[in-house]
Amino acid sequence: MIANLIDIARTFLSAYYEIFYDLFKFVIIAYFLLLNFSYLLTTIISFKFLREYVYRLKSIVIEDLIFSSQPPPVTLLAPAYNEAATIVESVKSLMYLNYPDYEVIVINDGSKDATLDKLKNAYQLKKAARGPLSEIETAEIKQIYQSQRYPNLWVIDKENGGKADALNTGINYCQTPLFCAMDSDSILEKDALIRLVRPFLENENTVAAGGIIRVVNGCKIKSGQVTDVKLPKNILAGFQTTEYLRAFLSGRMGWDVLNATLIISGAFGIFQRKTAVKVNGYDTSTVGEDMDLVVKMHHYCQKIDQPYKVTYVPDPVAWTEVPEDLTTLGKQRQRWQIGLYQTMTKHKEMLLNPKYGLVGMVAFPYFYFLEMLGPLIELPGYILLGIAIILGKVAGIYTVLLLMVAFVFGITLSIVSIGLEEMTFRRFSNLGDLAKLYLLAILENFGFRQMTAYWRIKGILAAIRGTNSGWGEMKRKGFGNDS
Amino acid sequence: MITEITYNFLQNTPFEELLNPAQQFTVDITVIIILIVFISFLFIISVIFALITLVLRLKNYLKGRKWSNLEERWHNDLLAVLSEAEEPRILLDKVKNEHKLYFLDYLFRFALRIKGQELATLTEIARPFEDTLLKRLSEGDTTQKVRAIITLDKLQLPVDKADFIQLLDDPSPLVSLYAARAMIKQEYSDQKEVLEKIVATLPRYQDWSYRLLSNILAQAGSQRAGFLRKKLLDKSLDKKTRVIIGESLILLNNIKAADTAARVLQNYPEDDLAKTCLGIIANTGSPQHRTIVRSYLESSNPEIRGKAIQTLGTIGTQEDIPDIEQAFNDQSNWIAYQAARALRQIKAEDVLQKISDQEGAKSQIALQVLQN
Repeated sequence: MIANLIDIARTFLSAYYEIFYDLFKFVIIAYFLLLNFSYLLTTIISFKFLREYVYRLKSIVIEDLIFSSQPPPVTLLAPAYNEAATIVESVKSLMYLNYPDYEVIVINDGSKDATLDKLKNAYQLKKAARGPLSEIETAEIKQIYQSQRYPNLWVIDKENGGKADALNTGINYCQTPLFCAMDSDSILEKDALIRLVRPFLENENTVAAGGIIRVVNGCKIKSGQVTDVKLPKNILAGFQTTEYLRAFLSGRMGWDVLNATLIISGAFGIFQRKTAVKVNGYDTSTVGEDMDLVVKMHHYCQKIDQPYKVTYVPDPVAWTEVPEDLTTLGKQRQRWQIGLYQTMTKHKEMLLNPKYGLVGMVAFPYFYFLEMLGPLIELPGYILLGIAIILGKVAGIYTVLLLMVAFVFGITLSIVSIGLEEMTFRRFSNLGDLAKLYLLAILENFGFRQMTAYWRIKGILAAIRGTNSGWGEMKRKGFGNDS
Repeated sequence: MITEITYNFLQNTPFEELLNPAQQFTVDITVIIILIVFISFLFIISVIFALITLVLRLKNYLKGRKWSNLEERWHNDLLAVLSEAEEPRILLDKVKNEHKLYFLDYLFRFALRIKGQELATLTEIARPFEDTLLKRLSEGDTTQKVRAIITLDKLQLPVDKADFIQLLDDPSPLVSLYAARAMIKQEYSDQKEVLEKIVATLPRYQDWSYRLLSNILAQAGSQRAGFLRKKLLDKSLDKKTRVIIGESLILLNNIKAADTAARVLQNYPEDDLAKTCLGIIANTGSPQHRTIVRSYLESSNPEIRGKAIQTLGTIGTQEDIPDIEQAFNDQSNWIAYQAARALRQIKAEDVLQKISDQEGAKSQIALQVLQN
């Protein structure tokens, strides 16, 4: 029976081989062109609007904004799982933000290490009562603590339930109109909160806003603040630095201008509590809970015809540590791809649905076809090209030129992003770092990108199999003097 | 060897057709030219951007060095002038014509850190350069205009009505808003008319947070509370404008505003206005407003119910305790939280204690309020 089926398949494939081959070639080329032109388009848009944005920032005086605009109170939600190495320093950085009225809730999601003990000792935690204002279902809460040193610091110790579950716990106990979801190992700049609240002051319909994530590896940190921005020595972290610049300065800015922001990084985003509760908080069944929440908010507000705005602002900064070894990085990328797959398939009714405007017609198809399914085309494309080269089926000149197009395209996008950084925020003050960024922008095309495609394929296959990867644990070096 | 392995691998598979020499590609010169042009184009863009970035870096470096040198030169003199050890003229003589704007920016940044007599001295130092800023108001782009308004405002330079009133109609709402903020603090002889104009301009800023807008309006000061109360009653104004006016009255802690808010509440206004008026009564109302507040306890909008409970907490009496306690049965925990705070304010700790002794989330809310 099986032998027969194989024979049938073989006959079928032999008969239609040429069609398959041509179709696959067409799909690969179409994918390549669409993806790169999307990048190019968002980069061009970002180029125009980022400059305008940064110029406009000159009319904003942060001190003035803090004292004369009555910014609403905010609760910082910092979920933690096995973060003993960094938790004390990270929380310390949260206690001295330049913001008039905020609370910090650290949610210890059943850590197996000394996370809770370190917090207890460092911040003199004492058992305290605090009631939930909403009832999103979460894992059981063991105890709530309040710091004796900082009355606005609370710690909720709960059973393990995953990051989304921890954030939902935080939402339940949040008593302010806005909450800021962040990673407990991220470092927020002093003005980050007021800068990220600004979109809520400028537009009452704002339901969510995300800031920029920058790579902390290699930077100098003092008293919980980044004092000297440097490129990481580790090459993998270096590649990720250029990647983050490209994603946040070119990609997200471009999508925001189109009013089609679909992703707000879980490491740093502010949300309207009311709307988050209405959509039942984060989805605990997906590992892409950050993207899922944003998509749900789009979905909900469009459905009830409520004017709303989901936005990205490039000046509030959260610094995060990125993986420096292949195993951890691979796991992280697989996790991201699983999250993307889960969110895209869960909300697929938004795909090409004009009811959802640009989000449904442009952003969603981009993420669905190019970001989610893309790796399934990209990697076989490399393999097919490899086979064709070996067999001499592709004229040498074509091979060389096609590869050059792909690489030069990638390099151009990275170099433009580095240019955008220099035109706007200029965080890398060292000329040597600028030269290194250029070098990394070239080198990442030879291996790093292909590895990323491989991890993403693994991620998508794992997602199809229904694998869920829980907390994305990472090896931490901790925030010493030189991170 | 790799070729051999691949040949063997593909033999007897559906893809063995690939091994057929007839499948060889033919070279199309047009395609090659297109690809080469495209690569060259991308390459040139990369190189141009890389060069622009380097030039920018150099330019920024030189600019930064120039400004820091200038600031260094001004800094000691400025400190000497502020401590009255030197005459302002010494410093002013050092400011070249082309550096006027930068000098004003430097003074502005300095002004953010000082107040009182030192700020007054800074105002005197900035006064000769006022025209530079006024020129920006008429000729600058949006950012330059806003920056000029903020600088004039912070350096406490006189804000001439003639220069500013037209800015309220500036095509940019941002310029208009900042102009309104600068004018509202002034004491023009016809300040009431200026306020009328500002209130009429408020719908232009519809998207902005009412917290920010009410804060700006409140800077008109208590002496303008009567005007604002009258406007709160004005039904011809749009609802958001009335909400902003109401919120500014809360910030002004105006006692008489509670009566005005109660009058508005008699007509069961739209949700946001009702919340604001309840907020006014919570802030400056008295037990005589209890009846109207109580009528909102059954509102279908939980935010209004919560606000009514909160208001009863501040103006209510012991008679209101059962109603507030009843609010603990509301399905919304947020309302329970407001009720707990209200009970605490009304000094009904015993009731709170009783609730906290029970099981469940609401008892934790009661306990939290008792403990804090």
